[in-house]
Amino acid sequence: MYLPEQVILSRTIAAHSQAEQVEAVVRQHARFVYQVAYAVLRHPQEAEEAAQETFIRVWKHAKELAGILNQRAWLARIAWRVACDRRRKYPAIATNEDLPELPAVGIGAEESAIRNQQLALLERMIATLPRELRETLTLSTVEEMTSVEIAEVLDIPGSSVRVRLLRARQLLREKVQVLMERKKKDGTKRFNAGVET
Amino acid sequence: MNHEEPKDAAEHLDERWMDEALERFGAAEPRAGLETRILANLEAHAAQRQRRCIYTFAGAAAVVLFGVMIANVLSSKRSASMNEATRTLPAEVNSSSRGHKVAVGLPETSVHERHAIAHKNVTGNRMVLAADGVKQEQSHADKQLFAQGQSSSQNDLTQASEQEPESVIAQEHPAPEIYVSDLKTIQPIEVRELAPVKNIN
Repeated sequence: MYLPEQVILSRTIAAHSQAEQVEAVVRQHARFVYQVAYAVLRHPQEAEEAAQETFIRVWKHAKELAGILNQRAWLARIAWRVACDRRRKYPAIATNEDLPELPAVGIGAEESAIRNQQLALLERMIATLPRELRETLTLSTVEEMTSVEIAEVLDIPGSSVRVRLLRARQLLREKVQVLMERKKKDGTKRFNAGVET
Repeated sequence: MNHEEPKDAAEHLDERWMDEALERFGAAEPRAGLETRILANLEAHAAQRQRRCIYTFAGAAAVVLFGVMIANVLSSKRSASMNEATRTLPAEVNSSSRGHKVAVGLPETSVHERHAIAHKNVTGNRMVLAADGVKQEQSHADKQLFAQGQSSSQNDLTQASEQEPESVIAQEHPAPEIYVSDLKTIQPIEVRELAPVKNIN
């Protein structure tokens, strides 16, 4: 009679400690997981649901939590996969552009509009990048995500991450330059047209 | 140098713009209370899983119980039918004699044939069983005839035993009691040799 009671007690303690561990992980990394999901999905509601799903998966593998060295990278990997699955499942997820955005506190309406335009432009430019570069750049935008963590998430060496980031930024810069030149040309054309009239 | 300076400045401007844009691109703040919502969802998920476990266990137990009940009913039915079969089928009871017969190499006969032979050997061809309501007085001639018949039946029996080993087997292994009792319920009939009908005309 003594042994089963002891076993039950130890299991209860283990389950309790696991629950505590999961809770600690949630409190510590929820925002980070949300940001990883958001980087992929670009939609607040979807990103939150992806974060929920990520932590359900973490809870299912709670026994492994103690043995994981880099919890952030592990979580980022799960969140990345969950978000990619969600995007594949629901390809017609509305982006931020479709949603009405509330004006940011302390920023003027004009500035806010310019920022939104910039963001929309950048999103469009990132979307035109090759998939490998796009994934690496998207993850690099997530706050405090190191190249080592990105390498773990994408399962590639760290040096490849750095090379990809450089190439992605270079491509983006070229695109921005082309865009600016086009705008300048359009501006002079408009100016000439105004003078002629 | 003068030509390169504005180019560098433009590049620097592009770089700065891109950094800012990328920073804003990744800086997504969740709604307040994300952790609480996630923890509540986890609790609900755990409770749901526990409930599902209980339902699964209860369902499995019910299925096992149902299976045991069905097996019990089937086995009781089978035993009942087996009992009935042993009661009604004499062939199965008599299987040992049949096996013996097969081992000896004698030709198999049907149950009815075997009992007919046995009946024949016990009563003889002309032997008649007295029915319950048959009169006790019999004529002397009849008695003589009966004695003759008995002797002839004995002769027939010896002949039959020589000719037909079936009768011997039937005598050695009589039909089971139950079957015989069924036969007993049939009223034996009196067969008499009728005197030739005289021409009335």
